[in-house]
Amino acid sequence: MSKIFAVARAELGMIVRTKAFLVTLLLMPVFLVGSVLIPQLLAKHGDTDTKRFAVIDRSGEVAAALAAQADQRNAAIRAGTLPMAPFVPEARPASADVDGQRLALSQEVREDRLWAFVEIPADVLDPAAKAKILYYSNHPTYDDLPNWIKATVDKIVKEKRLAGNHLDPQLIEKLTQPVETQSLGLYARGPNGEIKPPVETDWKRDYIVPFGLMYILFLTIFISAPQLMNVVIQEKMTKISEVLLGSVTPFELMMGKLLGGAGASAVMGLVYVTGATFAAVKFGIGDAITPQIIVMFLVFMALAILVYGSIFVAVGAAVSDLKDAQSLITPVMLIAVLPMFAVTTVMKSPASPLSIGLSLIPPATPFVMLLRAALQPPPPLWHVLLGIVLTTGFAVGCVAAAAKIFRVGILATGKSASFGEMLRWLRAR
Amino acid sequence: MTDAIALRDVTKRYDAVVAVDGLSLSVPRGSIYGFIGPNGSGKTTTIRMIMNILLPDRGEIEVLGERSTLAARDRVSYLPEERGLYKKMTVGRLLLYYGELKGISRARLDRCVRDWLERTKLTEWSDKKIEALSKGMAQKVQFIAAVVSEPELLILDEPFSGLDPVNAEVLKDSVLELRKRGTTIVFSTHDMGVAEELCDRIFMIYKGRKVLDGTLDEIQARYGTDTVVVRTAAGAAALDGMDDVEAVNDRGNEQWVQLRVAPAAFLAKLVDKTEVRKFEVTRPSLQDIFLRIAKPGVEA
Repeated sequence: MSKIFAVARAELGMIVRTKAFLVTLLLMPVFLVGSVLIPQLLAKHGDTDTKRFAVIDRSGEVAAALAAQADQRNAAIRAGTLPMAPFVPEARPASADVDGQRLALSQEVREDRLWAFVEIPADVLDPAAKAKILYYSNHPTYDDLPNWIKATVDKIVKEKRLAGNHLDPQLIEKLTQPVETQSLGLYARGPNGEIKPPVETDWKRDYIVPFGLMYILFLTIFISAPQLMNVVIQEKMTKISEVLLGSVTPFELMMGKLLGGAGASAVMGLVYVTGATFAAVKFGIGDAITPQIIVMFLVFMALAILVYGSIFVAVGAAVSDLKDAQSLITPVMLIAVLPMFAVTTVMKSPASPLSIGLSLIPPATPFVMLLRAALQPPPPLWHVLLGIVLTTGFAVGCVAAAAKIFRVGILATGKSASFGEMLRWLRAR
Repeated sequence: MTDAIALRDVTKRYDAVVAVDGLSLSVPRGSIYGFIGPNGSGKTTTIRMIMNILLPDRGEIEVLGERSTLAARDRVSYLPEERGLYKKMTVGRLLLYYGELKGISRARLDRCVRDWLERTKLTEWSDKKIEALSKGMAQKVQFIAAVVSEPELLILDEPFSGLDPVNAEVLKDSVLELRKRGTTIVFSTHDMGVAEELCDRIFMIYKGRKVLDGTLDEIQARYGTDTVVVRTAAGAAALDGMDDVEAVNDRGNEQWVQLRVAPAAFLAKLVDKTEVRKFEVTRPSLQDIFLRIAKPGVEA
């Protein structure tokens, strides 16, 4: 055992002392936070150029009101309350030559004198006619303007229809106010027998924390496991492994590497979870990350690194270069990312048969069970324990199989092993 | 006292290829034992089996009196031909790590590392990373990594290859010093001169089988006195077309000639062809014997 720990200590030291580890450790949160904040920031500083558009109002009922609404909106933009592009409608009289007028306006759009043009049908106020507003533009991906026109014309037309039927639009709006739903947790008894009122559902607590924990686990595993594989390939190619095998058995070497990798994962995971806990406390949901969840995170992280680390290490030992390793590891990665595809389903119904089943399939258990454990309602304890037992068994199997491949592969020279050869090594005594 | 290494009828196969075939061998304690043989002859496989890196398919291996080579592992050190050092580790840290893997206490390791760095004039490089060392210095560090655990059995695979004469001499002296202290040294090399110079006994493996085993004297005696060293005015060209010549090892100014006839008969014909400046009946060198066994077309 002491040799396994000696290898593990050296491995951990070599991983955490590299610049790559520090850069990854620091940059990953920056990247994650950036991927959320940057789009919001860009949206605030997006396209603010004025958009002129022509309005052919065949009904004669909408254009003036639309212009008034645009003025109101543009005034808000000028006042700085809306960081958006001003919309400037230009009313154009309808021509008898319908297609000729459309062609002429299309030309104005092509020449950038207009952004778009819009036609309000003559029977827009008749609900039975089901007439459509026609919006013409050569900027199909810019949807701010057509969305605003749709919403604004819809509002104007509804008001006109109500007024035409001698109904007060303001009264109608007041009477048709939607009934809100407040989503709450459950009542419970406090430690002194008092009734504890529930807390209101909070998307940060109920969605971001569970997903964040699972994502941190995913990141730490799939940063550490490929690093282990790279180290094994490098040591095999530089014959360091042959020197080490003069002092330790292949199993001791492999286990030392796995434990070192697990240590590196733990360092990374703890740094991220600590950061996430601080963030959660700052947002007032610190209670969502309980000590039990952190323990579960560490247990599942250890199991996941044993499962995926042993697979990556075995592949590293079986190949002669990184390119061959990538083609062998692709199927493993496809299996590994499957839990990520199931995230939405599991989060919506964590206690559904599908979620329970997924959380008890070992390669997915560490990620899906952790997700379930952080969601409400949490899984019963026996689900968690069964998941741990099954994954432990699976991890032992993976390590044993990897040890057989490692034992032969690490000394093999020449071309990389195929799946068939690896299977043969597995079957060998 | 038991031998340092005893192999009895050891066979190792890789699929259909027999890498080592019924090999038996005894390496006496305290000796320097030369392993020679062409590439692919089974030397590395034999060494790996002695080191317990590979297991034999058949036969018995005893190392330092232990039937399980695994049990003797911490008393054996191995310097493979292709050097394996962590480039980003410092010299001192690397030596401590390799020593630690042999189960040596930290205090003893510190002393040994210090002594060996001093002996090889690398003390000031202790805190430098391996990547900062020259090839020769890195090779010395690799050698220290193999000996820092003060092994009873040291297996060296081409320890001097690529070293300049000064550094090669430092390591040769170290090897001899280790033998004085009682270390058994197995020495795998392609340099026949070094094998002749350092080894007490020499073992040659060819196509997985033992073809030579004994002291240099014993081996040379077995190959008789059919070799002469000649230096002539015409050089190697004088030997062209002579039916009495079995093989020529041209060493520039001199030629080592293996004869089919008695040396006197050959000399008589040679003086007819050219001026003979030197003619010495000798025993074949290890290199000549090696070539006789392993040159293409010769079956062992």
